[in-house]
This record gives sequence, structure tokens and C-alpha cells, in this order.
Amino acid sequence: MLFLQLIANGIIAGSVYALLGLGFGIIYSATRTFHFAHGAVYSMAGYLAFQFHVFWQIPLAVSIVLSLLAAILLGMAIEGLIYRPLRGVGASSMEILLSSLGLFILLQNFMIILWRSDPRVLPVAETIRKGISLGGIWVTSLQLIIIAISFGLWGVLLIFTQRTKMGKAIRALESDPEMTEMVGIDPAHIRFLAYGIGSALAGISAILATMDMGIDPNSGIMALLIAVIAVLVGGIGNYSGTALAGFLLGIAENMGIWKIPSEWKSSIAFGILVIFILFRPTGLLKKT
Amino acid sequence: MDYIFYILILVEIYVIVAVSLNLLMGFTGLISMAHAGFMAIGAYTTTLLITSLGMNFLLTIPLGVAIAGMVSALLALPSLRVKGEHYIIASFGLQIILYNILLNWVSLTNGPYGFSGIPRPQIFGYKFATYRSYLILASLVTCVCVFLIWRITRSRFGLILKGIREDEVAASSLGKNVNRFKVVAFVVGSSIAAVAGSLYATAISFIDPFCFTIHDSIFMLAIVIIGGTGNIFGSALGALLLISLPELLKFFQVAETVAAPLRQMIYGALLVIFMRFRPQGLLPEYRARRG
Amino acid sequence: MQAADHYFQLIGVHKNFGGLSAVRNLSFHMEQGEITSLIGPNGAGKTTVFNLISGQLPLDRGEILFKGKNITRLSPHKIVNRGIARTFQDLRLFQKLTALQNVLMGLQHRKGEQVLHALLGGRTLTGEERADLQKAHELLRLAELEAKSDELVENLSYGEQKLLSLARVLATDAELLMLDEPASGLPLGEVERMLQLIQDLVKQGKTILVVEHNMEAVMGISDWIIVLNFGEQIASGTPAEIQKNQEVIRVYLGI
Repeated sequence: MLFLQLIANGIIAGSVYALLGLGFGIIYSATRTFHFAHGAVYSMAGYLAFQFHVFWQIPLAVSIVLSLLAAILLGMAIEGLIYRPLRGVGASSMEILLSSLGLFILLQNFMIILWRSDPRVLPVAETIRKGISLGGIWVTSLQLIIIAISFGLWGVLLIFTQRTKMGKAIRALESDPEMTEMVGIDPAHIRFLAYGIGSALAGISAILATMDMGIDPNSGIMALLIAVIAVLVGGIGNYSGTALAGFLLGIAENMGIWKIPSEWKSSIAFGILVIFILFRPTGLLKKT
Repeated sequence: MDYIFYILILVEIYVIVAVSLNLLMGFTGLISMAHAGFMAIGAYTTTLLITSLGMNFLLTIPLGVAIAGMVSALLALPSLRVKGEHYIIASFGLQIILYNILLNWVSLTNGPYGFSGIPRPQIFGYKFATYRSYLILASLVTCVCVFLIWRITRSRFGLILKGIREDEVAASSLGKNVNRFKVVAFVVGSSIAAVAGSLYATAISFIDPFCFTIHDSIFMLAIVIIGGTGNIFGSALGALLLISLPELLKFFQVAETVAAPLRQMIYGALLVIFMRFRPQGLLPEYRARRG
Repeated sequence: MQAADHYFQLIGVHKNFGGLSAVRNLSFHMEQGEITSLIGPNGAGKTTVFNLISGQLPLDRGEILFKGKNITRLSPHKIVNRGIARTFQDLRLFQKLTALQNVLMGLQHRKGEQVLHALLGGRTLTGEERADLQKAHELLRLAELEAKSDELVENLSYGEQKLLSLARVLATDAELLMLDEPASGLPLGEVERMLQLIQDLVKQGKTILVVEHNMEAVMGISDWIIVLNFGEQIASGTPAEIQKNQEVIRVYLGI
């Protein structure tokens, strides 16, 4: 029973991780920019939702929507105001990465000044926080919702990138930036789209996490690390691989706690990463 | 006056940190996010050897360096085979692991409580009790470290590192085992960071895991970038500026809870600004890369 | 003739790029002291062949033998250690280093490359440094670049950079040199100088494999010519034979 509970916990954690990976993944594969600041977009969404709903008494649904919009705008603004000018002056990818890092620190610490270091939780109706027993496994309705949203968005993303024109344009930019331009698609627009979608996914994962466990100043950097690991393990540009990797990470972390003291949780994620870098640098699944 | 000696000691410690990190970043093009972790290895090794074995401070330094060297070699060997960005994440993860070890291996490291009252070094009977006297010791150690790094950068080895930074394919087409060079550079740079840690532990007399976090690693990156990658004097200048200027902030009577994140915000902003307008840093290695 | 008898040999080499064969079942050989040229229209796979030999690209099928030893799966730096070095079509000089430094980078197995030696120094090191500088200056003199030894590569003219790239690869002391488009982009007078240098190299005991577009240059200096089209060998022979080959003429003039 413990075993199944751990797996369940793993799937719940993995749901958020999968979304994190998908968000970072779509940005990275489409733009090849190591968007460190993604962690700050994540945090910002969580903190803003808290601010809107708890401090300013705005209804939960509206707070969530506003926070998501803010995340999307922030992500796109970073591309437009920071990355694009840098590319314009010929910055190398390392230089862009370092600016992204600087931006992350700037924003993350700004949030610390505004919201201090205590964890902030986004309160939701008590009913969905109540634990229910599913065949002996304890989950809350909220957690079930999180799992559903995660799988749902995974599916939506797959359909979007494979069936819609804009989605296919993103895939085109991933595999061949030069060809994309020649076919008449403006890469700049696609990039903004990628940042928008990626940031929205980050925002959703942040809000879900903030509801379930709360958000604190370290959340951003841990979220980023998980997102990157999920993408590297799952394969850049491989959305299903990335999502699966996210779930795997969640399960491995929770199974790991069984035998390893819980303080070492984050080391498990890194350990998985090292194994994959060593033995399978291209990722989990072969790219279709 | 004592306060100024303290600041100078701190600056020198970070000069060692910056110069060693510059070997990785500025000369070889490897961005390491684990540098604070290697500094921690030196700090904790020295502390443990002095407090539990009563070892002489000077002897603890090479041991700290050796341990840092082994750990860095363990990381470097697998991850330097892969692309640049994968490697940064690996170093990121290593930093987190090292931090976790410091925090959770309580029997070894005292966990979150750390060590306080670390005694000042005693060499040939003379105890470096005051900041003034310690400054002399620190200056000597710093000069040795900077000299070593300087020698390396001026050598054929250093030249090849610069070549690797610019074009790995060209370097390997000239018979250079690029991976070996990167690993060696990484190990040397990370090991010397341990020396800074040893100094830090005995200068400040107190260490805990919170002195060596990912944020500290990022601070170290900022020093190297702002000071000037590929320029030893640049790193020294960067250390001087980024350590002493925040002290001026104290005159503005800002609450400590705001001062710390505010300082970080400034580092972050500086990183962004420098990358956009002056990526080569304050003291460039060569003429401006882009106009 | 046994495979092991040839100085250098490619056997059945095949390279695919995502469904397209860049190099298809290529076999050829070279003897010591000869100048062999690989020619063919753009996209024929010539530079890919270089990349396969120099180890920058792994091949899908086939073998590469040098002086009887199989070098097929060696990494690029090991290939240089065995005695084969190459230049690049886009030169790949270290722009931010000086001409002298570029040539110094080409020297092999110097003690100064080891960190410990770099730190401890010593008399053997300074002796070695002096010898290296001498050799580097000699090579720069050969390339008529000695006056510009301390000039950053980014400040040199294209012609000077091409000569520098030759000097740098000569520093490796490799016995088999692969030159990728050594004459392209050069004004007429400098082409002559480059060709002369290449022929002098053979007199010093080098063997040369050249990829080149400039037909006149190629015909003038080659002992043997191999013609590629779409990754396959369509003809090989002496310059005289190739010039009369109908298939070659069709490929170059027709289509």
C-alpha cells in the first residue's frame, strides 16, 4: 500500500514537473535560448496569484486569469526587450544565457523584497483540500485536478503542435530556422508565441503548486532545475518525452524517499540527470 | 580601521575565487555554477581538520585542494563530454547536491548550525589573532594563488584553453584533446577555490551551509563577468568593487531583510547591463568584441 | 594490390544525413609523396569526405586505413597524432589570437601543454619555448607573414589568413595534409604562390590531398584526380585523362 501511495504522490508531483518541462521545453526547442528567467516567470505567477486573491481580495478565478496573463506578458516582454536586442548585436548564446541568469536574479530578489521569505499558499475551497481514499490511496480532489490538468494540457499541446498551423510553425522553427524563414513564416512571431505558451504553462504549474504546497523564494530555481532536467532527459523537442520525464522524476523522487531521507530529494533529480547525460544524452524516447 | 582590514581580507578571498573562476570561464569558456560548493569544500575541510585534529592551518589547505580536486574531477569527466548548456546544468545540480550534503550530513558538518569559533591560524607559534595580522597571511596566500593562475594563463596550456574557448573544432583539428584540457582547467580552477574557502573559514571564524549557496555561485560569476573575463586584473577589480561597494549600502540605513535581496538585484541588473553593453567586462582581454 | 600496400586508403565509405547519402560507397587510395585532388560540383560531398577522414564526422560504413593501420573510429585529435592534419574551407583560425599564437597552437606534444610544467617551469621548458618560437617564426617566414607575427588574425587580409592557415597546419608536422580549398578566394598572383608552396611541401616529403574548385590550379599540380558527384565517385585518373573524360565534362558543363 505504501508503495502505491508513493507512486500516487509521484504522479501528483510529476504532473507539475511535466508542465514545467513542457513550458521550458517549448521555449528552448523553438528558440534555442536557455531561458533561465523562466524560473522567475514561474515564481511571479505564483506570487501574483497570492497577491491578487489574498491581499486584494480578488476572486480566485479572476486572480488566476490575471496571473496567467501577467506571466505570458512577462515572458514575451523578456524576449522582446532583452533577448531580441541581444541577438541584434550579435551576442553569443552564453552571453544570452548569462543575461537570462542576471534577469532571473533581479526578478527573484525583487519578489523577495515584495513578499518576504515565508512560503505563501494560495487558499482554495476547503472541500477540494479534503483527502479522499481511492482504493486505499489518499489524495485530495485538488491533487486529482492537478493530474487532470497536466494530462489535459499535454494532450492539448500535442494536438496544437501537430494539427494547427501555428503549432506546426513552431515545430518548423525547432528543426530548421532558416527554412522557416524561407517559407514565409516570421520567426519573430513564432518566438513570441513560444514564449507566450511556455510562460502560460509555467504560470499554470506555479499556480497549481502554490495551491497545493505553497511558493517560496527557492521555488523558482528548483522549478527551473526540474524543468531543465525533464527536457534534457525527455529529449529536446520531444514533448511526450519531456512530459514522461516529468512524471518519472516525480515518481523517482517519491520512491526515493522510501529509502533515502527526504532531505536528499533534490539530489535524486540531479542523479537521474547525470545518468542520462552519461548514457543517453539524446533523451528518453526517440524523436518522432 | 579594523573594519577596513576585514573588508580587505574579504576582498582578497574573493580575488582568489574570481581568478580561479576566470580560469574556467574567461579562459576556457566553461560556466561553472558550483564554484561556491568548491569554496565550501575548502572551508569545511580546513575547519574539520583544525577543530577535530588540531592540524596546522597551512597543512589543511593542500588537503582541501585535494578533496576539491577529486570532486571536481568526478563531475568534470562525464559532463564535459556533452554540450555547453548540459554542462552548466550539471554544475548547477552539483552545487545543489554539495549544498544538500552540507545541510544534511549533520554528523560531519553540523548541518544548518555550522561551525563557530573557528580558531585563527597559528604558524610557528605566532597566532594571527588580529585582522591586521591576518591580512598579511591572506595577502601572501592570495599572491601565491594569483601568481599560479597567472602562470597558467601565460603558458602554452593557457593558450590552448583560449583556443578551445574560441573554436573547439579547430583546436581538436590541431591535435589537442579538448576534453582533457577542459577537465584539467576545471579541476585546477575548482581546487583553487578551496583555498579561498580555507581562508574564509579562519578569517570569519564561522561557517554554515548558507554561506555557500547557488546564489553565492552566481555572485562569483557576476564578479568575473563584470571585472572582465579573460583578464586576471579584471577579476581582482571585480572582487574589489563587488565586495566593497555593497558596504557603502550600509550607510543608507536599509533594513537587512531588504539589503540582501537588494544587493542581489544589483548584481542581477549589472549582469544584464554588462551582457548587453559591455560583455567583455570592465577590463577587457582584447579590444571590444562588438561595437 | 593488397589494401595494406597503399599509403592511404578509403574503402567503401558511406555517410548518410537523415535519409540523404552525402557520400556513397567511396573508395580511393593515395601513395606517399603524391598530390591527389578531389573535385566535383558543389554539394558533391568533398568537404564531407574530409570531415569523415579527420574524424569530425562518424561514418556509417566503410574503413579508412593509413600506413596499414585502421584509423576509422579515431577522434579528431588522435588522427592528427597519427600524422594526418587538415585545413578548413572557412579557415577556422583563432581570430582573437595573433598569427604567431595560431602557429604555436599547431605544434604537437609540447611540455608546456601540461599544467604541472606550466606551473613549475624549469629550464627544459624555456628551452622548448625558445625552439617553438624559432620553428613558428620559420613557418611564418615561409608564408611570408613574419612581419605580421604579432598581429591579431582578425586584422589580416583574407590572403594572409589563408597562408596562415597553411602555416598552422604545417606546424603539426603531419605527413599527410588535407587542404580544403587552399586557392579559393585568392587573387591570381596569390594563387600562384599558394600552388608553389604546395608543390614545395611534396619536395619536403609531404603527401597532399586537396579539395579544390579552381580547375586550372588542380590540373596543374595534381598527380591524381578523383571526381565526385552526389557523393559518388564518377571518375579518377591523371589530369590529362580527366580532362578528356566525357562524364566529367557533362557533370561540370551540362545539367
